[in-house]
Amino acid sequence: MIGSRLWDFYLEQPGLALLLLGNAVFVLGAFGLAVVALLLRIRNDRTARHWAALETRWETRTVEVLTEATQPEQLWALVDRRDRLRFLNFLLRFARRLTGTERRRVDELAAPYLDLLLPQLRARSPERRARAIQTLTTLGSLKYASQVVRSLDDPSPLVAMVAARSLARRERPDFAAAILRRLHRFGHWRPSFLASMLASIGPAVAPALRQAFADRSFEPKSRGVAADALRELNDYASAEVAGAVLDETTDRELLVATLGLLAQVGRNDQVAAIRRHLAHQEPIVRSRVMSVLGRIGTAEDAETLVAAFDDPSPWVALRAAEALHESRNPALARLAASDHPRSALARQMLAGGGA
Amino acid sequence: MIYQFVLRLLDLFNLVVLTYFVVLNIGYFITGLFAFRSLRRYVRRLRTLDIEDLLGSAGMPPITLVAPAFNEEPTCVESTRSLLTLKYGDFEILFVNDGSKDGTLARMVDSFDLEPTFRLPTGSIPTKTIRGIYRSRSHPKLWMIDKENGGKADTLNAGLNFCRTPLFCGMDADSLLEREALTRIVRPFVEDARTVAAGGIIRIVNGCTVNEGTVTNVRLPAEMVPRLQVLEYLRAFLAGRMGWHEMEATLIISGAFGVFRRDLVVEVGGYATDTVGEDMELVVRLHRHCRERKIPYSIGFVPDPVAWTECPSTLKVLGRQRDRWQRGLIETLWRHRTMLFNPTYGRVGMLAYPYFVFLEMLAPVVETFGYLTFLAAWLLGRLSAPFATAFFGLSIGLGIGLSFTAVALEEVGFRRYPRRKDLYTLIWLAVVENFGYRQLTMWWRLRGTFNVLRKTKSWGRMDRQGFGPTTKPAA
Repeated sequence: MIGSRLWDFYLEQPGLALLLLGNAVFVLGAFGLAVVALLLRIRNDRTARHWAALETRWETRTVEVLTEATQPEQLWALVDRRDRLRFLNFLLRFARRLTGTERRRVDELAAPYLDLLLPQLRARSPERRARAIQTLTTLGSLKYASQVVRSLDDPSPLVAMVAARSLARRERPDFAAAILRRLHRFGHWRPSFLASMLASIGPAVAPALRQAFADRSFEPKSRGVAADALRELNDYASAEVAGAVLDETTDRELLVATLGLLAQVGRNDQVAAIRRHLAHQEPIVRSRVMSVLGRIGTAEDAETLVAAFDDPSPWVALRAAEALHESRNPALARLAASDHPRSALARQMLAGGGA
Repeated sequence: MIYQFVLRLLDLFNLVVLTYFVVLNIGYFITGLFAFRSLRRYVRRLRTLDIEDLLGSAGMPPITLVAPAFNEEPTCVESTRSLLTLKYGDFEILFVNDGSKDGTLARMVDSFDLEPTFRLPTGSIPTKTIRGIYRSRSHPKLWMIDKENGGKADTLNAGLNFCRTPLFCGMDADSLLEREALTRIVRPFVEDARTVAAGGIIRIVNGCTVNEGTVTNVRLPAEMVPRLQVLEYLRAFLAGRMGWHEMEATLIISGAFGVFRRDLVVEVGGYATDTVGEDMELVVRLHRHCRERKIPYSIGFVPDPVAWTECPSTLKVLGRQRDRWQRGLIETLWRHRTMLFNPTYGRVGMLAYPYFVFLEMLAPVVETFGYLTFLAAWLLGRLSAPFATAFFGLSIGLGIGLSFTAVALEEVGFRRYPRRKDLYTLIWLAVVENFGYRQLTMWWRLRGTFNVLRKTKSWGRMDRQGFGPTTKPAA
């Protein structure tokens, strides 16, 4: 009866009938979503309780193993077949809180399970691959290094970056070379972040960085990253290369990075080459020149720094003021007492309000 | 004859309104789908992130927090304390006092041992006169700029003029940022150097327990007005902005919490002072600037860095706020109308802009008009039961469906309300809000639309209760 009346209505006004049907589906779908939200909450709460109870048991036994009060086998006995990956996640979080011998013992506890992650390196989801790399490198010592190095070529930039960061933590120059060869893959990443990652490998990476910095076949951005990393490492041996790059490059980013490096490690005999960039059209280059002159400049450069107070860019004036302040040059106090339009900047420096 | 014409016109209007609701539904549905996809991927991605590791990284860019404040005496100290405890390597706080008439300045000076000092402006965006610059003796990261009253945009510009870092965070002085919020929101800038702006999520602090500037217990507020806003915020951020982020067409970054590349914002002239929607206007202008100059760029939304903010707890204040939001929306969309259906602006011009013009800006007009013609048709006996069902079904179903989507997205993503009772309440609110509250919101927005025509520029006063025990949680 109702069916035939609905059918009649459809024949009379098909558009409106379809609209009502769509509407009903939409409203039902909406309520379905609410049910999904509720079910999700119930499931999540139950899962959270289950894992919390399980992890409490694992944690107690792990602490016992770490203090050698019990054997690892007794902990492994608590790990059900289905919970092995979860156990690795637990150990990963636990490991981050530890160092030294205890940290190594956590690696030993993870060792029997790590092979389970190898199939995940081929997972469709890049996030799963990245997570597997992270776990393998954190808990897996160098056993899985070859797989991680291969992941530097993973189609997903996320996986490649997780692999690079994991390798960088290993403080091995051969890994650094592998990362440096693939720096172009991280073209969108912030250069300072990449430099910091490379520098975290430690002084052993400096020769590879110097080579990359000097190598014209590398992209200017990659060379700039190498220069920034050398600056972070305070690598005095790179002053020579920096001087050569300063003469050769016209790329703004590379020039800025090179000047930054020279501000840290430059020599007095390089000042003349640096002064050639005093009139560079880019304020960022001029401001870097000020910083370098403040560090390695001679007495005659103090005048240049004072003159930079009149530079159209406030950034150049700011760096010049910093340079005068760091070199304890009395000219700064004179500027502060003067009626120069930027005398407030000199007073700011003297009051300790540097950049 | 004329009567027949009026009746036909009425039928036509009803059909137009109905079609509008259908399109609106489809629009929201598509945005929700994109949001779901994006959020699921984001949550998976979060698992590959070690925040502590990122925090320890020396390569994170320095950032300046610009906190504009006008009459924020009740909250300024607690929110500044909260900012000082942020977990981030290199950051500076510029608290900019916009000529407050209450005791904001004195409270800040006393609480943080501020002393007058000098600081060179690095930008030259025109602003009201700077009256003084202070720096904290006890917290060297904290500076205060005291200026003549000029409005929020003018105050942000003043902060921008003194900003010395590559990134700055525009926020409200009464917002509480979570400890890791900066690290999380800066991630897009680290992962993609083309990023020029990113917005975080705003959540409502009313009802939560705040301890020394940190939200320690998340609860729904006890009062109905703030409760309904919790749902609205979830809908706006998780279903709306997340979806637009996935479509790479983010048009709004909340003024309460957004990070921007300083050089680019200075280049476009800073915040516009002649609109009450300066946050959206800036984002649209950045899109326009980059597209017109073919600068590769990205503007996005990050759903996990949280800024907690106090929302209006009375209908009167809420009405003023919604009126202002609508005015800001219209002013921005009108100013940049050249972007509408203009392929030069890519997805922003072809997708997001039309959506905001036709489905956001015009919604209060069409919906109110719809209710009126519906009423007229009913009085004139032109309304069939199926049509009435379709009209109300679409109108109400739309609201409920979208809110349920937002609640489901919250469950998939973050589950910030741990009590199951709060979840039930949110689901209940998703139904209740459609009977009265939504119509009231429409009325406020309609009023805002008329106020644009009347060229009203008022900001509207917001009464703060502070983060103390007055923010009552739900029982």
